[in-house]
Parts: sequence; C-alpha cells; structure tokens
Amino acid sequence: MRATWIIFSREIGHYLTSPIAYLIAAAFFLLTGVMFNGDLALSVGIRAVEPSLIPAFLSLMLVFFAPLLTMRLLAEEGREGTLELLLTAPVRDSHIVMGKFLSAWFYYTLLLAATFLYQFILAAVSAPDLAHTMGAYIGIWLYGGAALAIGLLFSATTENQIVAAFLSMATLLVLLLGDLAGQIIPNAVWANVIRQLSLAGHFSTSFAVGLIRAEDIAYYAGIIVIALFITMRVVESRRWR
Amino acid sequence: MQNEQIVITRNHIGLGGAITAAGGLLFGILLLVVFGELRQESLIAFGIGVFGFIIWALMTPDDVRNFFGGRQVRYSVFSMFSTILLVGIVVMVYIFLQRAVITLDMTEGQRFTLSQPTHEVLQGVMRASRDIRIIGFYSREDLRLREVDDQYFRQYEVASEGRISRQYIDPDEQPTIAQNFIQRQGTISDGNNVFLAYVNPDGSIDLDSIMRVARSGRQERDVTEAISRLLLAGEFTVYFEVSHGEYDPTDNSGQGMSLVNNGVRASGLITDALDLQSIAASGGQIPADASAVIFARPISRLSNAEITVVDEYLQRGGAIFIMADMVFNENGFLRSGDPFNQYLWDNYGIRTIDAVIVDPVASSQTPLDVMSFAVSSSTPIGQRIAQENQPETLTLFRVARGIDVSSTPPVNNGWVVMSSDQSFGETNLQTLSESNTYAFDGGEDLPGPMPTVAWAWNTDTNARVLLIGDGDFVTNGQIFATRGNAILFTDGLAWLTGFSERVTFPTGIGITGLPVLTIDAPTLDSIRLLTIVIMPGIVFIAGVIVWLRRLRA
Repeated sequence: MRATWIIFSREIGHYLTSPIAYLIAAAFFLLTGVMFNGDLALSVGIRAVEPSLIPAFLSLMLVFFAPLLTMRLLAEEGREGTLELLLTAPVRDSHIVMGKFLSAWFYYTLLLAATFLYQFILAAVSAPDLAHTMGAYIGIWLYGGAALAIGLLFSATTENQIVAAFLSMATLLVLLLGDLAGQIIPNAVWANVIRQLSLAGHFSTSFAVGLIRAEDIAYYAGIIVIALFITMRVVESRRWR
Repeated sequence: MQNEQIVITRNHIGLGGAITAAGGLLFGILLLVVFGELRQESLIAFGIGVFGFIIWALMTPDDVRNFFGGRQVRYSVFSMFSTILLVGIVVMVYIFLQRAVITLDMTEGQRFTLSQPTHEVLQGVMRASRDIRIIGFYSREDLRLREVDDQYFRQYEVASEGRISRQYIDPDEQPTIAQNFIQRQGTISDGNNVFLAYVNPDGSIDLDSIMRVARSGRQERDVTEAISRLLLAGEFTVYFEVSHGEYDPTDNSGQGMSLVNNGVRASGLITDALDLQSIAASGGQIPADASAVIFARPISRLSNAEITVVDEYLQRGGAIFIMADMVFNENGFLRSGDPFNQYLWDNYGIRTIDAVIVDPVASSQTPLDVMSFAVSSSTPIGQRIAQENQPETLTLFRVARGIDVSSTPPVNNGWVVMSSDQSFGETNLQTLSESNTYAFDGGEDLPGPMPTVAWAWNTDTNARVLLIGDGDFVTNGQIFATRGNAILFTDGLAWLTGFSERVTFPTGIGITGLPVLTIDAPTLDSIRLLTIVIMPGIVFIAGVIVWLRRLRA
C-alpha cells in the first residue's frame, strides 16, 4: 500500500505541476460551461433543466479526455527508461499500475467535482432533481474510471504517447458507438451483445435517467479490474521478454 | 540492373506454416461461435490450421518446441489463462446481478419504482389462473428504446414473482409472429409495439387474449392499465341496439361503426347486438350482463313497451349511450313529442331539442360543422377533450343537435360540450333541410351557448345516461376527422360502464413535477460569465503560472 501511495503522490504532484494538465482542465471547464449555458438558455420558460446534462455530455467527451490524461503515465516511463528503474525498485507491478491509475482517477474526480458548481448554480435559481443528478454523476465517475483504465492499458503497450492516445481514443470510440450497434449490425442478438459490452450502453439508459443498477456498477468495475489486470501483465512482461 | 535472388529457407516455410495454423484455428473458432454449431466451414478452417501446424513442425521443429516449452510461452500462456479466468468471473458476477434486478431509483418522482396502485393490480395477477407475458416488438434499431422500456417491464416480473414475464421479438427477424399480432391488433410501430397476453400451460401465447399497451410516455401507468384491462377482459359487455335503424357495428363502410366496435373489443370489452323491439315484444329484459347499451343514431321512435324495458334496465343500474342525429322527420327519434325524450327529461333532466346548432365561431368548414367551444371536466368524460395546445382533441359534429339540461334535475346531471356564445339553435328545420340555409330569427331561434353533449347519473340506482347531439361522429367515415371524437366516445363509454374506474391509474403518480426554469436575463449573463469565462480562465492562468515557474527553474 505504501508503494502505491508513493507512486500515487508522485503522479498527483506531476499533474498539479504540469501546464498540460491545467490546459486540459481549462478546456474541460470551457466545454462543460458552454454546454451548461446552452441548455440553460434553451430551458428558460419552457422546461425544467436536464438533471444529467453534464454527465451525459462527459460520456461523449471522455473518449478524448481520458486518453489525454493517461497517455503519458506508462508510455513516457517506458520511453525515458525510468520504468526499468521502477521495476528494479522494491515495488510490485501492481503497485505501479494501481498508483498511476488511482492518480489519474483522482485527477478526473477533482475535475468532475468542480462541475458541481453548475449544480449549486441550478439549486440557487431553480429546484433541480439533485438525486437524479447525483445518480448520473456516480455513473460518469465509474465510466471515467473504466475509460482511464483502458487508456492506461494502451499507455503500457507502447512507448509513444501519441500512439497510446490514438489507440485509446479508437477503443473508447468503438466502446461508445457500441451503444448504437443496432444501427449497423443486421443481427439483433449480436447487436444486443455488442451493446451490452459498450461503455455508453451502461450509462445512457440507466445512470443518465436516474437509475442505478447493480449490473452497471459491476460492468464498470469489471472493465476497470480487467484493464488493470492486463496492464499489470503487460508491465510484468518486461521482466521476461 | 542487378538481379536479386530470392531465397526461400526452411524458416520462411515454417513461419508460413505457423501463420496458417494460427489463422486457420482462429477462423475455425470464429465460425463456430457465429454459427453456434460445428459446420463444414469450421472443419475446413481447422483442417487448414492443422495442415499449417504440420508444415511448421516439419520445417522448424525447434521453434515448435520452444513455443510450447519456452519461458516466454509459459508466462504468456499463464497471463492469457488468468485473464480469461478473470473475464469469466466478471461476466458471471454481471449476469448474476442482472438477473437479481438490484436497482436504486434516484429520481425525485420515483419514476422507476412501482407504486402502490400497481402492486394492488399485481395482487390480481398473482391470483389469476394463468401467467401473463409482456411482448415487445423492437427492431435492432430500437435496442436503446427496448432497454429503457425493460427497466419498467422487469420490475413487473420481479414484483409479480415471475407471474409476469417478458419477451422481445424483432419483427424483421420473426415476421410470422409479428403478422399474427398485426392481424389481431393492427399495425406495429414505434408507438404501438408492446402487448400483453395470457400464457397457455404449454408456454405459448394465447393469441385471443392479446391486449395492446397504450404508449403515453408514462410507462407504469400504461402497463398497469393494460394489465387491469387484461384481468377485466370479459367482465364488461356492451350491446349495440339494432332495431331502430341504427348504424351497424359490423359494417366496414364509411357509414358503419366497425372501427369503434373493434376498438372497444381491443380494450377488453365484449360487444354484441341487442334487438330491443324483440325483447319488448317478448316481455323480456335487457341482459343482466349489459354494462351499457349504445343507441348509435336510431331513426325511429321507441315504443312505450321498449321505454319500459329501458327504464327497467336503468333501474337495475344500467347505462345507455344515446347518439342522436337531427332527424328531419317530425316523428323521428327524440323529436318533440317523442315519449322517450319526455322520459329522459322527467327522470334524468336532459333531452334533445328540435334545433340545429349554427356556430360561426367554433366550427370547421361551415357553421354547421360545430366544434367543442367549452368543455366541462366535472366528469371523466370531458377531461381529455380540448386539451391545451392540442387542437386535434376538439370534437367535431357535422350537424349538431341542441340539448337541454334541466337546472332543477331529479338526479345529478350536467353538460360536457357547449357551443360558443355566438352560436344559436336554428329551429326552422324545413328550410334548413331543403335549402341548407340558416339565419338567426330572434322570435323563433334559440340563442347560444347550447350544450351538444350532456350526462345524467342517478346515484341511488347508479343508472347513467350519456346524450350526444350527433349520431355519426364516430362512424368509420368520421372517426378520423378529429381525435376528440374518438376520445369522447371512449371516455364516455368508460364512464358509463364503470370500466375506467376499474382500470384507471391514479393521476399524479410518476410525474416528477419539476418546475419550469425561470431566470432573468441579468442572472443568466452572470452565470455565463462565471462558467464560461471566469472558471476556465482561472484554471488557464494557473497553468500559465506553472509553466512560467518551470521555465524559470
């Protein structure tokens, strides 16, 4: 645990002292802010505000944001040769992977928590369905964890950050579009199976509408566990390749 | 130009064999998964794989040995199997939780939680002799819609302890089953794709019990009402009187009422014909199972004997639905002097009057095409008519007859639909029928507004009467003129029979009731400034500071 904590602290420190991380955060807030104001303007005098607006928007944006947060984590260590140093240190591969993953997830959680500002604003000017919103936030938090775990996996497979980001984005895009499998695949059974495997399929019809289902939590937790396990195996493979 | 010699070594052939072996085996497994059985195509692929493996083993036996016994392979095989094992465990946990249906409804209106009225209806399902199945038709493009609906349907399955089950059918893949439903219930479309039916002991669907689930956007209400209708199917019988020249409920022409008849049956009510003349002649009674009797535009008057039969039926708590056209024959149905009109006035405080309504304000093509101007919602009959911003819910009567509602009635009564202040009742029926001309004559004509639909309810006997000043508003030719006409008929019949009280889901449940957002422009501007400029701006400036510090360091 101590080794995980040390790596976690080091990575968090890296996020907080990296101009790129701030740039990503600024872009994140600008986009969510535009989205929030757009919906606000459309709702005035017509309807109540959409409780899951920001989480639903983030479910799309994570395809691009998650790889940006994870592309550096292991690829850079591999390129600079520091990963070999880490592997010789008295830490397990699981400590390295967990520490890096938790730091990315923590940074994402901070960004997500900052968007609560929109909910405070809404609560001040209206009477939003905050419980529904909370459910959607829990969903997008788990969704983000799964997206980051997939990003970390690709960061471990290559030493090139751009390649890692591209592969992550491609994978996340496929897992996002899997929600629309029925539009492409002619067989309904297969289309449903693919939809069940998609990240968005476990968010758009449950968390986003204010319903938390145990199976969706299991799905996101499962994706995180599997992706991290494979990442550990990939890191471990450096010892015997 | 220099010629390069291409040399093919044993290693090259061995590598080709290894690739062939891997490709063949993978393709074979893929075909096996896709088809779900061992087909000839899979066998050929496996054969090619084995052939490739033999080539590999013959050409580079050391590589094969290393592959199966080397350190890298040991580790990678262990990694692969442990990953597969982990995936298997995750999939099993997922399937277990999916079947357990463990949910937490976070919505303010508890939209995904079955309410008490639904649980009461489900008690009836538990007592029923047969199971019920929810059958949804969803094409592959509608998988998301299916998932949303399934959130509700599976709660019914759990709450009914499995007495209600779910079945989803792709109409494109199983057109024969879809056709069975279309034949019984009409089209299957996005808004009309969910049905209920009893399940036979052998597990098949009882096609005769199919009931369509209305799709109003409030799933719990729609499904619960449909279950109620299914449970009540056969309990209510509606008779169409046929001995006074009424419209034929089995006639498919524009002058028939087959659409209405089929609609009533689709709602779970039984319909049948009733010959009032024969019953009166034989000294009989209207059947005890009659929930209501419909008089769909009678032409001739009822005899005293027939009035006695109707009165006896009403005294027993019966209900009659009278659709009275203006009959230009002075001895026609419900014209002044008709004993039945007098009977209605004396006992229920409502009657028709010999005046055709002319409404220059609330009308369609001509002032004789009278539309609903005012609607009373004191009974369920008028509650869905003339909805705000829904002009299609107005009623339209082509030549409407005025109705008189007594202000000192012997029983509860009232009007449902009223003409406008500008309307009047044309009493010169001869001129109207001969030359289709009308003009207000202060001495003879009756000033508006005037009711065109009225009800009466004797709370002691539970007798109910609904009188409508138009006979053809729901004939096959007129029913699509406006949705309001069909609503008036449906809700009128539901009120008369008491059917609506048995199946209606309480209003208000499942509605979140979140207030519409109201913000003034300055506040909106402040929010915009804070969230689009200040918040990202602060983070951006912090990034610049960090960058400058790193630059100096």
